[in-house]
Amino acid sequence: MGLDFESWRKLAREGLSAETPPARMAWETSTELQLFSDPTVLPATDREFRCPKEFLSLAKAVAPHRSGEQWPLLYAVLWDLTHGRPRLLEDVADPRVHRLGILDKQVRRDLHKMTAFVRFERVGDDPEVFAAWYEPDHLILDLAETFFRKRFGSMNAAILTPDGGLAWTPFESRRVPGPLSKPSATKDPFQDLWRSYFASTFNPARLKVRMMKREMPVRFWKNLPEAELIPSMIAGSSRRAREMIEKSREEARPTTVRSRPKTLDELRAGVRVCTACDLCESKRPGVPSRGPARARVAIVGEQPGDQEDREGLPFVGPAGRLLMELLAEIAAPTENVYFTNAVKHFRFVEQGKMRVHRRPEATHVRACRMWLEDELAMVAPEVVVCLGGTAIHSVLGYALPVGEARSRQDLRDERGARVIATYHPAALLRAMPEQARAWRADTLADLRKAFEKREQSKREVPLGINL
Amino acid sequence: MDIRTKLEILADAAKYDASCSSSGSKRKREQGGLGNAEGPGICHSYTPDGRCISLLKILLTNYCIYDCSYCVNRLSSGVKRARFTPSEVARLTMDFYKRNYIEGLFLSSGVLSSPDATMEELIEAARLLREEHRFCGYIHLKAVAGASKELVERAGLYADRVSANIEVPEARDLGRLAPGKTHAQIEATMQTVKTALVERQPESRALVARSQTKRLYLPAGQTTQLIVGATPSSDRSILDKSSALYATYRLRRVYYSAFSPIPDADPSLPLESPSLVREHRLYQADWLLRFYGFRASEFVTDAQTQNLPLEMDPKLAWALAHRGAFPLDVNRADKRALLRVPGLGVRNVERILLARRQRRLRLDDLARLRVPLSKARYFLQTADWNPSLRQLDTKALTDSLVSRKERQLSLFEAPRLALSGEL
Repeated sequence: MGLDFESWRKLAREGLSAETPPARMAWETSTELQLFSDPTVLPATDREFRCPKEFLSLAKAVAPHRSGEQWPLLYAVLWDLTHGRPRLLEDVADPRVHRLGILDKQVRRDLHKMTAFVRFERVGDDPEVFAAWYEPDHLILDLAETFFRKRFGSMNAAILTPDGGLAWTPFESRRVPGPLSKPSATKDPFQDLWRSYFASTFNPARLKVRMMKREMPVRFWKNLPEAELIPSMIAGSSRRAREMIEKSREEARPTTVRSRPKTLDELRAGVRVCTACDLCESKRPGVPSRGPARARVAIVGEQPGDQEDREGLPFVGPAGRLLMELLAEIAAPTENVYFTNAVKHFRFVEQGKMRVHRRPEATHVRACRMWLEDELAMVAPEVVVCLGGTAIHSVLGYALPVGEARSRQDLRDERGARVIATYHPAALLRAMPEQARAWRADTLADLRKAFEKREQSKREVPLGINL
Repeated sequence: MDIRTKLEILADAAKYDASCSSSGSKRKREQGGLGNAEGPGICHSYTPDGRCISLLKILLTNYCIYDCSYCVNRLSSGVKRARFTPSEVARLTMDFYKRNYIEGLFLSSGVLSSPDATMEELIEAARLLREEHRFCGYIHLKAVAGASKELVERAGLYADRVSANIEVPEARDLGRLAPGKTHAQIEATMQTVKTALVERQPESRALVARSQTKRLYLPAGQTTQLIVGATPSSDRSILDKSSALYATYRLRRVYYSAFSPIPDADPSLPLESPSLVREHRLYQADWLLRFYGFRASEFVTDAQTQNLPLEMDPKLAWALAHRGAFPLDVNRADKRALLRVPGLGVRNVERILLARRQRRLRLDDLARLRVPLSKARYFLQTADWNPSLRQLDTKALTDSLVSRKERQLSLFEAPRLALSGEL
């Protein structure tokens, strides 16, 4: 074992009392205090030596350095401080002061890394007990104790290192004498949760491995539970980022070239064979609209469901039947209503024999929007009823929560037609009974608004639209 | 849905927020409590994107009623959705903290039914941590834009820091990309935080000084973030916005986040991220604004694009454009002038001021102070002969400063390296 601060201090005092210049001091290791090259010098005297406060704190700060290099340097600086250069420490460019500064920095960095990289594992349950194995570069257990007890003083915990360890409870702490070797690993279930977090918070679109290794040097990895994921994360990242870019590039591709339909029949034929987005991969034909070529009210849903997809007609499934029921209740002239969907293909996942509805993504809404724009331009309804968020998103061109869209009286589509938003009937089918009743009443009220002839409707058309 | 799946979804959803620091707070452990927060904070781990993990950074939920096109959690996006309860967040934070994985919690959220309802849940998670779990580590809460003044103020009772994101530098772009959000609303939230800081912090500081409490009001103040590269804004207008924000709202930091391609992106956005080098240059310029006495109008920018040069740092660009101000005598120049020398940082300038009281500094002294001489030697007169000064007024100087390696890179490899950010 080398020196520590107190034993160095004792030697240094004796050296100074005997006026032993730095070059004649011998510091090489060994145990006892007879380290003088000249054993005839008298041991410690009561002489007092004055040195700046900063020197003492520097000496204490570099004491944990494992190299032992600090002891002769400290004595040399102390010698000069007491022999005519009392302000030597301010000269940070002096080679010895500078070197001590570097040692100080190394110790501080090592302590900082320890505060960062110690990983506790839960080794006992009731009460909770935590333990960690850590391998510091320098002899920093004393310094670490201050940090860890300040922060974790209310826990029962232990940190073990090759040089020894410390253990504490809320009431007391004690040292575990070294040397110690690495205990066998336990299994703390939170390590898995932590690894999940580590992997999820990583952004594969930006890779800066050098930066990571500079701040978290590889030699620390063996005691970090999350580090085992790093190699595969790096290997996978360029692929993941590329996929993400490829995917959005594909999504952003100009929609399939098509000639603009001139009649509603042409449009319906086009919808059936549309390949503008990946939903056509189901090889099922798209489901076109139904209703007259001119209508005062158009009703836009989300997408065809299982039954609509089989029959090739919109609003024939359970939700469609509920919609018809509601329209009958307010005596709406359904033969004069144009029925269509924001997305023309059925999006689903297969679960056994079932095809379960999945909400269309923004890309599907965008790809299908050309059809909706064209059909609304041809049918020229005065009122467009949007059932649910997807229809609202498609008709307005931006997303709005249904609740908010319902409360807005001023919504218009691109052509200036009045837009009325309400719940999708499928939502009523899925809601709990009480909620469903409330929504049903709301939906009826909204539908009534759509069908009432409004005398002043013309005055509400915003400026800029040709009347 | 189990905690692990929620954690995966809601950590993934939060990772595009750049601010992660746990710095600038001061909080002591209370009797029987767990944790503390002080000084610069600790980075407990690093992911391969080079960013540190200091806080458990998650969303309370990624359900959102807004449809901001740059955001992965927008209403129309097809991502998987999940929702934590405030008590799940509090327990997870405690369990991670006890294992020394984190410094604390960074909690943000999609907007649930209204800004107020969301803000209340965020506050509840923080309150549970402080009052039920006696957690004394770091908490950063998102101030939901549009939340009421009372709630934003209340967040400060539990949080170390709050942030309201300004999102993009120019108000008109926000209107286009984020229907439902306005700069006016976001800045009103910042103003609320600032007012609360001015009114309540001194009082709480006095209480702490008298040991009547250990809880400072919002000890780490407020910050904001803006996204770079999602809109055509120039570096110049970004830095103008930052200095205006610093001047008005007592912000601790403005974070710049290079727009990152997100899954299921809106087609109006660029497909690829802007260079991370650009983000880095903005941070350098931001530092010059805050600690080096620079003003936003002083930065050298491209006449056409109004962007900072990518191939050199903003201070070097300034020095090359103002060679008349150099060389500076390192043994005489004042602090303000020294701070403008390329390669000299705040710490180095202080050490030079201290060391030169002892004796006249020479080149090798500067080298020992770890001054990067490869840059600084062209601008500094030392006590000994400095041959590099002869190059100060030559055209070749730019070439020797922007190293051959970097110039070649910028010719042949710039696209790839700019993307990875590793120059």
